[in-house]
Amino acid sequence: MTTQTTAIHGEKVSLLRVLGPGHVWALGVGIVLVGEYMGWNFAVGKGGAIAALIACWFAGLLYTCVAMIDSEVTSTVAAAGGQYAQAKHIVGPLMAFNVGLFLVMAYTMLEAGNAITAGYLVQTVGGMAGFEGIWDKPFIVLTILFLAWLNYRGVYATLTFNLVITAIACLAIVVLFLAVRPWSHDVLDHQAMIDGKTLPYGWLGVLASMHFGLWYYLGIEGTTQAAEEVRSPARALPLGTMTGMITLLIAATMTWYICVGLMPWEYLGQAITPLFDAARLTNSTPLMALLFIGTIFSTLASANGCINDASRAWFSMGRDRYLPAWFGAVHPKYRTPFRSIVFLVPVALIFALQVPLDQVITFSILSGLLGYTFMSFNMIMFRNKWPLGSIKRGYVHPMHPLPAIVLLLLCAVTYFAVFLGYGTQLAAMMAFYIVASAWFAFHRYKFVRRGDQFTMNWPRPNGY
Amino acid sequence: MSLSIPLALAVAGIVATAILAMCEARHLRASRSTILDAVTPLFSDGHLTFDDAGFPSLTGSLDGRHMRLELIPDTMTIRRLPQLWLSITDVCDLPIAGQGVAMLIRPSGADYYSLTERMTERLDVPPGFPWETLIKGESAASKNALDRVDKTAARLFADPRLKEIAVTARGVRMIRQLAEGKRGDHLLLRQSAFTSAQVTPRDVTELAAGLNDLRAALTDNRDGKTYAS
Repeated sequence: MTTQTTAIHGEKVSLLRVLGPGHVWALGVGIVLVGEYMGWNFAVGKGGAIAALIACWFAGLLYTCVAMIDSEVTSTVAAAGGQYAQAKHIVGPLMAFNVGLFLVMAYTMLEAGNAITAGYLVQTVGGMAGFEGIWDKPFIVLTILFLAWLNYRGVYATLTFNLVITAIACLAIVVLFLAVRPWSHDVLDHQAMIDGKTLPYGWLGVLASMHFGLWYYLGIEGTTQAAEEVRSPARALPLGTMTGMITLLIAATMTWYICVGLMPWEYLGQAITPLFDAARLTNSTPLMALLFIGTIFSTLASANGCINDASRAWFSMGRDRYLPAWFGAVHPKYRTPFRSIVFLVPVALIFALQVPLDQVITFSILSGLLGYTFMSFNMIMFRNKWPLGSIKRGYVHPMHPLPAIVLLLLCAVTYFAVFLGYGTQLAAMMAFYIVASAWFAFHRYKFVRRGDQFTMNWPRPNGY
Repeated sequence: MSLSIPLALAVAGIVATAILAMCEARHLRASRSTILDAVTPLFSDGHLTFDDAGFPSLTGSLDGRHMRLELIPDTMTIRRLPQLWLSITDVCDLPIAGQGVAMLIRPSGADYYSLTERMTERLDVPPGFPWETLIKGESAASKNALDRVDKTAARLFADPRLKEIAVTARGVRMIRQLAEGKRGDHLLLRQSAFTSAQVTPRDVTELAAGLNDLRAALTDNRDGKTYAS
């Protein structure tokens, strides 16, 4: 037994050496990195290549505000349940119900988007290999079912060996960047690809691009982990998220530079797998293989995380009886929220099989955006109800209320951007949340155990 | 359709991945199974059992007390790393029928392993406890049991790793953090990698002493009342 243990520890040490403690911060962006592999390029379709780059940087500003605000609220131990728990304690049950739904929808739609991309990639590569008849739908179903099964089994299923492979997804972008020799025009030709249409839809196009500009970073706030049981979050919370942001910003700019120099913007604006397409255009088989692996593993890793997070948000709502308590059950053997996992599978499948990728991504972005809008109000309320010194904070963000105001303004701009081209989806999503809120307020709330939903002994807020 | 090179490579990749996954799972189970190895000799009549994920449980006699050690992998956390909890129970009869109390630190609402989940009466937190404490009892009479253990419990909660203290008519239990999932594994793939988690003899000695103090607080002859062990 001793020998076995030593061997295992030896492997763990070597794994750590491969990744290095200094790289752990970069791993935090791994699950968000899928935004570089797909989805971002729809911003090019909405406003042209330059507009997409501008949107990328403005979205970076939005997420900087998100990271600052979220770090402060999350650093109060009570907010360990994420935005849902924050909403419950700071605003109230109806807001918490909506925030829970935002999270579930954002994650489930992202999961569907990942499955669509993985299925499409298998179909494309199958076609390249001579299997013209390969259909993407079975792979989409297989992806969602397999990952749901892994999540159902919890610690009984392991994926840890994929850590290194997923790190390759980060490196693949760098390798592709170097392979296209960005210092010369041998491979890249930005002028020809942009074809004189620097801003084809003018500045309105730049504004419209903000919609998909969010995709570069969607979920980065998830890397802001709440205070652990004994750890001080004062430094780790903002540092981890901000370094992740910087990494994504650099990766996004590199991705943009490669793709815009290789593909006409009209094509790039609707591609499903832009980075893999870029690798194909280099005619290099090793690069294609690398980007294939990068795309597949980033989508699978992201989808896996989405199933995990969506099911736990759904589970939490079941525990608080915001949803039927049946969803709040924990599997007696696997200790997972099994009913929530199973319930969300058909939801993801319906969207993955029936809805185009850009619309699925739009639904995910919209739900995320609603969550960010909540965060701006939430921050103002948090500081008003529990001023500095009245409640334990691990981190205090600077320049309050400026980040909250900037965040709110950028969210407003992005709603308008979504309206430009996806007005129907915007209206449908809003209608869904309004109907759901009415159901909760007029029907469901009577089942909620009023005292039990607030697990923390927070001090009374100012004015109460 | 003939077997092309890309197809062969894909099949080889899938097979290699599956083999790697199986090896990884086997190693992980093996590493989990040793978590209690260092403390097993402390127990007379120690009986080790393992669940399918490889986590061990140990029951036996420690200094004449019937003890149970269990590991609880907690992956229900949101925006927090997975936790591996060590639960130690002194199984004994205590004269507090219907007065059971559970004290939980930093509750999240998803603490499925906590006895606060099954108790209905919410009790006020006595002075000296961490402010982020949830206390629930089996009934309003649980206040009596809480009054007897509150000072001991407040002292024990000075250990920031302690998660829960519970006393019922069937025994005394403490749950303490043993390990925390690796950040990279969790962020990337939502995996719970509790590397190098080991229960040491010192852990068990400290926790057993705490259980003794709690039991003593419940069974001491105080206020003229007689309590039997």
